[in-house]
Parts: sequence; structure tokens; C-alpha cells
Amino acid sequence: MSILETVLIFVGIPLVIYGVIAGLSFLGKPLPGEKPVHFALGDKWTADPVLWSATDEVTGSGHHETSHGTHAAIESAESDLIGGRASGKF
Amino acid sequence: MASSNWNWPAVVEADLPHGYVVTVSGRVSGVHESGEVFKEAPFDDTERLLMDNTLTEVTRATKVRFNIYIGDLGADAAAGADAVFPRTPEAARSVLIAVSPNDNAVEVRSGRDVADRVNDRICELGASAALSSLRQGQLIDGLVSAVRVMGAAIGRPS
Repeated sequence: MSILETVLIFVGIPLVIYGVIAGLSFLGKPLPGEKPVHFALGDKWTADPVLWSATDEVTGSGHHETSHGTHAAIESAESDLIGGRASGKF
Repeated sequence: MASSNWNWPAVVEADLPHGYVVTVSGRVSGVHESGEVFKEAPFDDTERLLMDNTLTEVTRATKVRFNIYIGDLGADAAAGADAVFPRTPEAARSVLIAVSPNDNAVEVRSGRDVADRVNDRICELGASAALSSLRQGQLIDGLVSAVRVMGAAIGRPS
């Protein structure tokens, strides 16, 4: 075997196999679904409501807070929980 | 906590959608069916990161929880916000900024326990900060500036 044949067999063929398999992966979709269409103000909001919060942050300052904790939400009327309020239209 | 069980269990396995389970640790695990639209908020990653970082920074600085609600508040946005507020995390010591894109309404509510720090005047401040961007069609920018302005006005806990 000449050097050329050796290179073709041991480098060329593996490269072709590699290329075919890599090429096949581009046939599929990158994601198994679709991202929701980006929302801009003016469009109609059709998604479910979004509630965002800094979930990992701890705000309570210890146990003296417990009397105002989740129990208050049960015992008092809903409007009692509200301290300040503001409204606006755009 | 033991005296009342109104929120226990927090997740009822029978009510979960098809393909969802509660794992042993209590986490909810669900499937995404191939080809469907992902169930996530319709905002890009940059916007969500910006919002998350802002909420984290301001909540950490003020020790007042900031909650953002985007969704329909009904015909009467003020009443809708009042109804949403008690169901937000740590409602009594939180600030809720609710936007109803379909009604063009912004509502700001603060909790009873922080009413001395987050009074009506600071709520108005947040609402007007949000409105200036919202009128230009910038939803996330408006919410971020509202949170930042309110956080700056509230200041650190004494």
C-alpha cells in the first residue's frame, strides 16, 4: 500500500463516517418543542398569569414575625393585609 | 402552623396535569410533550434575568419581598389586584406590582406589616415609574424601574 492509500483508508473513511453522523444530527430540531412567542405590550396576553418573586431570599427577621405570618392570611379579611396602594393606566 | 391545614397539602397529586407526579422529596416533576410549546413566560432570557436580578437585589436590600404579577386582573383591575395580593408569597410584608396587559392597568399593593415603610406615596412612586416605560411599550423595563425606584425609596431596614 502506498502512503496515499493508507491515509485514505485510515483517515478518509473515519472522517466520512464522522461527517455523516454529525450531519444527521442537524436534521432534527434543536429543541423538542417551541419557545412561546415573545410578548410585547400591545399584543393580547394569552399566556397564564406570571408571578415572579425572589424565591431564595429570606425577608423575615426571626420569630417575632410569626403573629403576622401565614396565619394572618387566614384569620383576617383579604383587604386587611393591604397597607398601601396605587393604581395607574397606560 | 399545625392549628390550621388550609394550605396542606400544597400540591394535590390528583389535580396535577397528565404526566406530573410529586416525587418522594416533595418536588413536582412533570413531562414536556414533544412538539408542544414550552410552558414558560413569553419573555426572552435577558429580560427574565434582568427581572430576577432586580427582584433579588431589592428584596435583599430592603428585606421587603417584591412580587411581580403579569396577567389578567379582570374588568376591575383594582379589585383583581386585591384578590391576587393575599395569595402572593409573604403577602403581609411584601410589595406586589401587578400589570394587566390586556386592560392597560398597573396596580401596586404593599403589605400591612410594611405599611409604615411602603406607604401610599411610595406605591404611587412605583406606579408612576412603571407607567413612564409602559407607555413606551417597555414592559420589563417598566417593572424593573418600578422595583428599583421603590427599593431606593424604601431604603434599608432600620
